[in-house]
Order: sequence, then C-alpha cells, then structure tokens
Amino acid sequence: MKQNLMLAIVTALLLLLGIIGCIAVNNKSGGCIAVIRQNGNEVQRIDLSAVSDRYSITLRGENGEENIILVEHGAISMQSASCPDKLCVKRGTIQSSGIPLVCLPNHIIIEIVGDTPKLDGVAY
Amino acid sequence: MDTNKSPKKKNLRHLLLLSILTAMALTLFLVEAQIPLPIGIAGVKLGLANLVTLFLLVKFSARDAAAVLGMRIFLGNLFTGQAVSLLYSLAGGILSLVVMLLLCRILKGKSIWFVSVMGGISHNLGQILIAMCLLGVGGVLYYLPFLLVSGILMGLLTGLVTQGFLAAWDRLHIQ
Repeated sequence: MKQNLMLAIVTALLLLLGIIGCIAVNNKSGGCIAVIRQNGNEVQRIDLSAVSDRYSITLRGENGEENIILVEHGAISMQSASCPDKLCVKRGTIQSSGIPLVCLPNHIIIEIVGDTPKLDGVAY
Repeated sequence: MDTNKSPKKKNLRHLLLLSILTAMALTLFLVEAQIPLPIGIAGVKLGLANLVTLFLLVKFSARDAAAVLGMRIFLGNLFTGQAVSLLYSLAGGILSLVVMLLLCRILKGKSIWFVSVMGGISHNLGQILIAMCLLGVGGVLYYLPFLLVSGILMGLLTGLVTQGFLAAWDRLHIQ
C-alpha cells in the first residue's frame, strides 16, 4: 500500500508537469512566418501577415503522397492529404506558434516561427 | 491444473494461448483504430492492446510478450494499411516493452497500474523520437506535454483494466 501511495504521488507529479507544459505550449503566441518542411527539408517560408488573398500549395511526395496546404492572411491549414488518418486536416487552422501542424505519414511539418507581431494599430 | 501433462502437450497449449492472445490484441488494436478521438493530435490513443502485452509480462515471460507484441504490430499495420506507421508502432512498442519489463522486475509484479502508466509515457516518447528522426526537426517536441498527459491517463485506464483481468485470471486458475 505504501508503494502504491508513493507511485500515485509520482504519477500525479508527472501529470501536473504535463498539464503545465500543455498550458505553456498553448499560450505560446506570436510569430507570423510559416515554415513548411517536407522530409526535414524546408520547402517554403511564407510571411502570413503579408498574404492578402488565400491560395493553396500542393506538395507531392516521392511515393505519390499529396498534401494541399491552404494559406490565408494570418493563418495556415491543411486542406487535404492523401494520408489515411487525416489528423492534419482535422487539426484545422493554426494561427500562432505553439503546436505545429504535422502530417506524420507524409513527413510534412508546418511551424509558425518568428516573433515579429504586426501591430493592429497604434494610438497616440 | 494437471501436472502429468507431456511437455509436447504443454507446448501446444502455450502456443495456442499465445495465438488467442495475439488475436485478442489485434482485435483491440483494430477496434480502437475505429474510435474517433476528438483531438487532432497524432499519437493520442487508448492503447487497449497494451493490456495483452502487460498481462503476458506479468503472467508469462518477456519473450512471450515480445512475440505477441511483434505479431500484433506487424499484422495490425498490415490490416490498417499504413506502412509508415509501422515504424512509429515499433518505436513506441519496443521502448514501452523495455520500460515495462524493467518496472515489472523492480516492483516484483505489484502496482501494475503504475507499470502501465510508465508504459504509456514511454510509448509516446518513442513515437516522438521517431517523428523527430523522420521529420528531421525538433518542432514535434511541442507535442510532448500533450502526449505525456494522454500517456498517463490512458496508461492508467489500461493498467486498471489489466489488474482486473489478472485478478479474474487468478480466480479461474488457468495455467
């Protein structure tokens, strides 16, 4: 019983650590440069704040994989993917740094980097 | 049970048991893949098939657990048709098996729920490591806290189920 109690405390501490980590990652904000990588190589770097009209990028892999990425003003998302699980499409749009958008089966990762927040307006 | 069984018959019995457990693990693995989780994070899953691995580790041997785990991963990925995810499954499976084996030894087969929790965490850790290798970027590390939390919660769930299963097995006196 003493052993169980000790292990329960260890588990609770790990859980707490994980939850704090989740909150920290979720609250990470800023950045407007989207970096798209395929197989570890940078494919494209887009300044999302400079995008006015939405457009899409199609990425093709060596084995016939296809990912369509939708680029909008200040946001980026995976529109469609040839992978079986479609987790990247289900993630929806990402707007700031924090958890990157990942398509594991097709080895694509989209991260938002750069701490250059554009001001909405300045009042004097 | 019967002690006057010939070794040949005992071997056959054992093989049969491992086959049934492989089928069980495979079923859990495939059924689980059909359950949609409302989280768009790769790697978050129930891990029900770990129940069988953990059971074998406690009641039989590491060899049996590894054999059933290997068969389940191979067949499971064959059925779901994802060649890439085989690597992820293997990385997670092997790492969690090693961690659970060591913990089982240290804890002398007690506190199975904790063994399962650590198994869940190490499974997810293995998957993040392989993702870092395949994607060639450290960005996936942001997933770590989410997978840590899900590993603990799901590990706890399957661990408690395994404890119930082990208790039922002992009551039935099956060998």
